[in-house]
Amino acid sequence: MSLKNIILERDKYLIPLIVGFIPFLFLMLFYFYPLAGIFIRSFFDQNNFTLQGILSFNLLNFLKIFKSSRILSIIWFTFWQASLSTILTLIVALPCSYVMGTFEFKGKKLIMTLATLPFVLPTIVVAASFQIIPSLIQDMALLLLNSQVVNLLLGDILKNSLLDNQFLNVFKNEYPIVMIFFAHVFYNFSVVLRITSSFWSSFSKDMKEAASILGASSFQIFFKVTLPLLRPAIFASAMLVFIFCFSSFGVVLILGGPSFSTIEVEIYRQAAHLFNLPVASTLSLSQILFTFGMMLLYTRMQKKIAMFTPESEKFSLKKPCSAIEKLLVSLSILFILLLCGLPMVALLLKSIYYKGTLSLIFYRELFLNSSGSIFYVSPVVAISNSLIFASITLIMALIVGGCAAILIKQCSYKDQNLGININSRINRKLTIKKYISSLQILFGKMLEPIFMLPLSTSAVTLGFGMIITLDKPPLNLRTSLFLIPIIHTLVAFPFVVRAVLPALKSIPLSLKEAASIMGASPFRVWLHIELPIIARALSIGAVFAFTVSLGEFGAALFAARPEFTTMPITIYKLLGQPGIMNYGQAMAMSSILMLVTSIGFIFIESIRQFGHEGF
Amino acid sequence: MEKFRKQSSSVIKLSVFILTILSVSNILISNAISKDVKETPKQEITVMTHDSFSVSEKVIAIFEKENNVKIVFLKSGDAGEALNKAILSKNNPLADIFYGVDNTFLSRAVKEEIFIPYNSPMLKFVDDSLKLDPLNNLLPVDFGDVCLNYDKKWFKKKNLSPPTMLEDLVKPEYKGLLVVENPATSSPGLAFLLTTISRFGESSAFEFWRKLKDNGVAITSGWKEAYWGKFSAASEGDRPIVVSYASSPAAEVHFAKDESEKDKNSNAPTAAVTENGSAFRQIEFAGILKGTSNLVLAQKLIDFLLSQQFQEDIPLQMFVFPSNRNSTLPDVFKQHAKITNNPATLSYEKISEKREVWIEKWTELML
Amino acid sequence: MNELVIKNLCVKDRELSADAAYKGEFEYILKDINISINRGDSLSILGPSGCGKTTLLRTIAGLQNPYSGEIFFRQKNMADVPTHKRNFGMMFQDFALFPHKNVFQNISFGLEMKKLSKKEIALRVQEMLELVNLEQYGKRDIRELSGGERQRVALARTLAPSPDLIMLDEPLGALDKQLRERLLDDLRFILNRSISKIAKTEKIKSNLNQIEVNNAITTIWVTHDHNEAFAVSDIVCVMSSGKVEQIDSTENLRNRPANRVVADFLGL
Repeated sequence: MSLKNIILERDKYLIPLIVGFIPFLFLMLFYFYPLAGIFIRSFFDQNNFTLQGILSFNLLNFLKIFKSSRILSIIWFTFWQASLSTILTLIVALPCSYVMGTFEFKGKKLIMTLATLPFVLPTIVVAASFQIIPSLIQDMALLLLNSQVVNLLLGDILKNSLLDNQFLNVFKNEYPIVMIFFAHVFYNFSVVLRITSSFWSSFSKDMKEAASILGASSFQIFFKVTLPLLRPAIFASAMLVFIFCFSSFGVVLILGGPSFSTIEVEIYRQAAHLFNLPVASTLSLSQILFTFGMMLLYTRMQKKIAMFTPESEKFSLKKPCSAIEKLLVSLSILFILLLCGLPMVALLLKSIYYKGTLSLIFYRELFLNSSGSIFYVSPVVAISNSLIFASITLIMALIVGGCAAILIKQCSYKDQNLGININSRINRKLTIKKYISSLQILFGKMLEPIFMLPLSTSAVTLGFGMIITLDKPPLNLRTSLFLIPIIHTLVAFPFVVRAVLPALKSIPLSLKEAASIMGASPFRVWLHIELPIIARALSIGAVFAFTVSLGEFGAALFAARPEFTTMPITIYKLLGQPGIMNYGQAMAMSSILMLVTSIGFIFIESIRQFGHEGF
Repeated sequence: MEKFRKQSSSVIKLSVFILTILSVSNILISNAISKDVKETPKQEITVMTHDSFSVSEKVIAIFEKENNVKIVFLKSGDAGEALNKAILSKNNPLADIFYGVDNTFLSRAVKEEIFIPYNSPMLKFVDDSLKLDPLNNLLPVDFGDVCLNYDKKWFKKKNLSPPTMLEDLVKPEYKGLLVVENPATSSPGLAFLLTTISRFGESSAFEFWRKLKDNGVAITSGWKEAYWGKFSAASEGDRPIVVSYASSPAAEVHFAKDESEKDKNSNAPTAAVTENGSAFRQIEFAGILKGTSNLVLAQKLIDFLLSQQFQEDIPLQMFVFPSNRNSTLPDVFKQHAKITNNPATLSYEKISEKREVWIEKWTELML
Repeated sequence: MNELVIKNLCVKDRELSADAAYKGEFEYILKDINISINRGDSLSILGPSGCGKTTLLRTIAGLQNPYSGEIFFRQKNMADVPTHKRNFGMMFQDFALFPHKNVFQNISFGLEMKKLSKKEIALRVQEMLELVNLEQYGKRDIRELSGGERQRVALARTLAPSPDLIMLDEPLGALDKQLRERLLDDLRFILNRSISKIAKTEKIKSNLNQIEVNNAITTIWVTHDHNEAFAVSDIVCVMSSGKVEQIDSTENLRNRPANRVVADFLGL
């Protein structure tokens, strides 16, 4: 082999190496380093950093923590509520996703946007809006019932039964466990909807027609053809939902009340209030390890999801024709409107309802610094802060996430080739080289889970870690403006990876080679071929990054400069003191948050035209 | 020609979008920065505090002008979290001054040795009952009473007399009326637990809690969830009694209407129960953090925090009471906020010693 | 004069290089290939699927690195010339049309890479569309095209940048038999016409080679169908399992197959 060939060969890996370096550096600096810092700090006394200390710590702490029946019951609760929440979300979302993946109708984009909006709402606001719903429904029912016609038709019995409807009491937080499930479904509905409906829509009609010619009833088609094809998408979305619910914090803390606690909530309690860092760290570590295992499983599921080349991507969407189809479409629209729309409408109404009349007083008040506080932030500033952070997050998440996706793709590509060859030589002696290459495979397989980890890491642990590690120049970021987008990016970039990876994998190699032969340098191949094809997937990642950043309540994570106040932080601040003006302003701010998010959504979605939707 | 423009339109759109965002954020950031930079570079002094801290712009401007300095505030979560962050960052402190250690956290703060003692001359205006740290590592800056609040309208409507002391809460006619906060995650919750211990003694207190449980007490994680989620006077909730602050009724009046129609004589929709040892005094402290780069200035700022100028600003900003006895209270406080002369007390040494045990015991019993 | 010379070319499983080198045993995809073609020759590479035909094309194009051996094009060693600087043209088996670009944009891609002016590009693309009888198709989306139309767009795209060497990888492979027979004639016709056209413009631009004006462009045509191979080329190279079995003129091949493998494959 000539020297030149070696250089050429290396050149092929050099660019991926540089590309892969970006997400790694990012994760190392802002994730693993702070975590390692807090773990070391809490497990070992700084003076007692000896081998003996390490050995004695492990056994002692783990035993002590996992012996406690309270902790065990918390772990048990975390598991079963996450499982049940996931199943419920699937049950609710799959029928809707069938409709969204099969039919084309007016206003579909709007409905999909609406379904994704819950993502940004702070938990406390959602809790408040849930509580408004029963009275809202009762008011509407009353209005209806008081009209003469209905009254004649239905009579008093129904009216009364409606007025003290037991079902509505669920929303009054009498059954916190029901509220937890309800909120989890509310938040995660769109995850399942988006992933599965895009796969549903890419099944060609031919497949179903072929099955029906072969004599399958529509029932059989569903169970024998559609469902197995859809299974990977269902598993993938179920896994994401499970991980979200597994590390659920705000929902359980605020809606569930103190009688329910997930591992995440317990970590917060131990770290922030009891200052019991060893316990908190042990729990975080086990949570991270568990999540890593789940992600590994998830990644395997994802790999099995059929890849659709852009050419086969003729969506088989049709307009609803028959009465049943029309009914299906309107039912699911109604359902999404009720599930996602109603709480938001409730919020909106609450924000313009003052002493029995409609008024914009809360909005006006938002613009006044009536107490003269130095921490007053006008909504304009809060909105622009939020938008700035969201935009920086969007860009950073696209860069970090995009690079991570390229790296994962590069590794999995090698993995496939090696895998085949190793299997064919399974009987031969295992050489050191082979060992190294199998390590490489292992590394490639671990990449995806590693890039998903920040999604489910206890925020308070990470926040404390950042305080003790990022404390010296040049990394003295603890009070920096950039820490906010960095933290948001940490949570947002896994979404970009999820969105971009399938699209990247769906590009046939021959497209890039064809471009290269026609004289396009590697960079121009990327610019003219790969980038436009993944543009749509990137825009989906961008939507999620933007949303995550807008809704993220990251202030408690670190020492924040009050000047950097964002919309969710303003909402929390307003709810910190008694008085109807504060409450009303919080509702008004929440409505503004929803509005800004929707506009952002519609703007980003309008950019996408073409491509492959994944997650 | 046109064909070419269309060619990579999605790429162009995307890059235009990113460029727009970049330039807009650039302008906004540079605006934000230039606002700071316009003034000549000054000395800075940093105050670390919890999320509930607030102060008037005018008051801060007085100190900044007098000393030609800029005060930078850092907010770091609730009281517990903020203190933990100060402790964790003791090798490289984030701030010069920490504001907002309360008496339940006092011992932890003192034990970690993150503060520099300072005998402020202003301490002579502060009642001795508030001075819990004899070495003056931490100086009392404000206090508030945690107590029961009730919904006046509700009790009037049901023709029930409102509670006057803790013992009332276990009566059958008060079944299902009370909402409290979890002492493990909420500071008023902890204060209320301490009230019961101070009132009944350790063992009877938990007996009282068991009865409360039988009487259908509701428990939330924090004050926001209790007040905005369960309390009938402030939410759609159905609990007319809540654990809140003695100043909450004043806040209800203050934040009842917009500025123009504010009427200080109006009735508060809620009232506080403070007598018979049913209110726990939460005292907040401020101190100079070890490693401050400007000790003299930090001491000046502590003096300022104890001065009338700052102290009189406290009530309407944070809805707690000033520690400087010379400061005058605003009218709404005089009318609607009560200060009890006999608050429930527990020595902070005892609190620090038993704190975790009590919380564990409470958790086992109630949850 | 030899246009393309391939000397002792070996290609092996590219991903396993370190491992295989360590053990000293290789899985050759191509073993010891020696081919030389003159300018203007039309060479067919014929062989069963999996014999290494496509790999050979890819190696010539620089998409795959040889393990050993050398490739010379116009006396220049190609080892350190990256793919995009070779100025070759290749038509892929699956056509590899860019799904995000329309017909016009697909054909103009190579011209843009050459940084031609917009006017020149528009002219050239129109010329190519005429050549393949798709004058009205410029704005069509790739996904709206039939198989035969795609094939012609792919061909137009390959020819547009006036490559020095044209490679066609089973250009008719994806089409049904009737269409193949019809398109084969079209293809030959178009290739011959375009070659003369390209040659003419080349001649005007550079005064390099005036000798072989009418037959200046070399083509390599990969197929597994011997009828196709005999129909389009002067020289046929028969390959099987990574080795060249025989390379000769169509006439010689028919009359004197070198061995049993060749004879069997040609159906003699």
